[in-house]
Amino acid sequence: MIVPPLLEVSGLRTEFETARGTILAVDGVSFTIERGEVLGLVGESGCGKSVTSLSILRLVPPPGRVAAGRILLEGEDLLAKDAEAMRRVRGARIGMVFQEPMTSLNPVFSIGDQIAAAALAHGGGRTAAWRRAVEMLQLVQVPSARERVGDYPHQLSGGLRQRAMLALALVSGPRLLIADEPTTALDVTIQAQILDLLRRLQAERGMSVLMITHDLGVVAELCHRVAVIYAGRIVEMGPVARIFERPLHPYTRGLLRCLPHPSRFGRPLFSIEGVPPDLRRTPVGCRFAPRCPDVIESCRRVEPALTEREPGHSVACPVST
Amino acid sequence: MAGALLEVQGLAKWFEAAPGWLGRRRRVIRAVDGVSFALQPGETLGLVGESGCGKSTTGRLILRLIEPSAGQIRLEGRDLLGLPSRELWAARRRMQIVFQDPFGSLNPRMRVGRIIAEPLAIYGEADAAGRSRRVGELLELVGLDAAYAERYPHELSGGQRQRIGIAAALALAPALIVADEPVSALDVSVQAQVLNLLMDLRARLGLTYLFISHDLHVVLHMSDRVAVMYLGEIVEIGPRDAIHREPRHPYTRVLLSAVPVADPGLRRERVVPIGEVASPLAMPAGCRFHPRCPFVMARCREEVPASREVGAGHLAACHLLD
Repeated sequence: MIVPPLLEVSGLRTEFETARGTILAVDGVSFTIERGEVLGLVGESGCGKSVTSLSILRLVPPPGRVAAGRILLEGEDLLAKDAEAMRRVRGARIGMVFQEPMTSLNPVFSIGDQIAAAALAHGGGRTAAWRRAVEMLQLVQVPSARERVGDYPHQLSGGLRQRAMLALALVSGPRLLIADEPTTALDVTIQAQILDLLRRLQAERGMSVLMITHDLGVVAELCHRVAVIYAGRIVEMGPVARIFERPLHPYTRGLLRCLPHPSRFGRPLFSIEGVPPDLRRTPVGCRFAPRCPDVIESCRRVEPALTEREPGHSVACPVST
Repeated sequence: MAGALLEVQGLAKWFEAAPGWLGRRRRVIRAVDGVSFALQPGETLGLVGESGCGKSTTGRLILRLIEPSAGQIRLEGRDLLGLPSRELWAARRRMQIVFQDPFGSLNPRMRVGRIIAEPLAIYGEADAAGRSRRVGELLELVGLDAAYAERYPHELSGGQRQRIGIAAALALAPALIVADEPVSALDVSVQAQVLNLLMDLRARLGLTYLFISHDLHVVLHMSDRVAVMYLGEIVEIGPRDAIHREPRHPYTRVLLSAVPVADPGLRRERVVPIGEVASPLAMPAGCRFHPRCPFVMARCREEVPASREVGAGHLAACHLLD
């Protein structure tokens, strides 16, 4: 028997109807995540990376809606589920952490109450649930967890809140963790601690992780594979080591070269001129063509499809070699 | 140091925190606590550290946007803190600031042309026609078409707004620019454009920068020298390459090892800091970094380490260096 991937997204299209036209935030995105795999979804503001994760969770805020595509979690179609069934999926099978912990943590309950409530939903008594809350806080390395378990979110620092949110996301033992910019608002030393923690928990539990980030450094540190997204479409996808060593898409190359790098401090940075297109009127042909240094005539007519160049490494560009 | 453009000695800002409910004794936050450095003309000094380390407050103190509690600031030899207000006003045009948030720092009701011309008008530079010509020149200097003068800030992208902020800062031809997190709100592709522009302007106009950022790589990229701040103090300062390749203070090593690098092949030392930054209301005794330091010793808990020279122009404050 062939085991399906843990998550399979195909042809995902998410639109936002506005007074000034339809915004195609995600337009034909397909990828899979295997069991125990960490996939990074990387791109700049407005590229559709967060909308992709919200689409998987069926949490796209109105007026947004998933207009087309399939999202299979262990072979089950999430888009076919009713609201109640979807709520159970989010409660048990997919954990989520966001940039801003207060989007998941309720300010009027202690973190212990919230984690225990989630534990209780999976059976057992109150005492066991409370003990589980303490264990979860210890798992995510909240110092003196036994004393802090009664704290309210506002009593915690940003780093501890992020740990508490992670404890809440993991209490049900989900197979998939969706982490949307989980360290972006944190100071760099706290970010390093949280990334180390995520890496350890992922390996210990064999979880799959979808890591949404704008930071290629975070991708390099944590992910096995990466999908680079631009203007609502994946332009390149493959193993992290491969893509960082030999990026094929001009946008990926640009992103990597425009970062200050220890070997080139002080030298002019490569820069990608211009700005991403308006998603109400995406250009005909390749969406990156107006900013692309390697553009050829056909790029402005034909939208390139994501094609496999070498095993596991795909790119949507006819020019790249 | 002879010929320094800017000299800062023992600069400090102590804020008084509101007393607690029970009217306990007043508490003092030492946001900046005895910072000293000098900037030579044409040089860029980077100021790096995490939230609350005092780097932005230091920038604002130098411009006297906040009044210092103690210390000395000399700009082109003049003591800024002793100047009568009339002369301070004249000295101020020699130094300008570029802010982080290009969305919050530009007046949304003003056209770009007026935003850039405002400093010229305040200092009575040129007549209306002369100012409008100068606005055109400044826009071109920052890589925008002169026609942008007619636009409003909301019509512009983040990168374009930051260029407007830079143009306005350059209007009075200052010698010193305090750049406070100038690219932190921008996407990486736009960040590169703005960093390149700042480097280009420095070369063309002979500007001196105090470049403040939480992003160690951006600071190392932009600066000739780097000062690392922790809880209100400079813990290490030195030439860029020395800070990057031979950091001597454990906090600098921690910072360097914590930054995620977009290069999976790059092997690095991993020095993990313990816990989180102490509250500035409960400043640790001895070395302020000791509760988080992976190399802490007994004396670090009691004795404040003095800053000592560890290389040419390279200073660090750590007992390990004895």
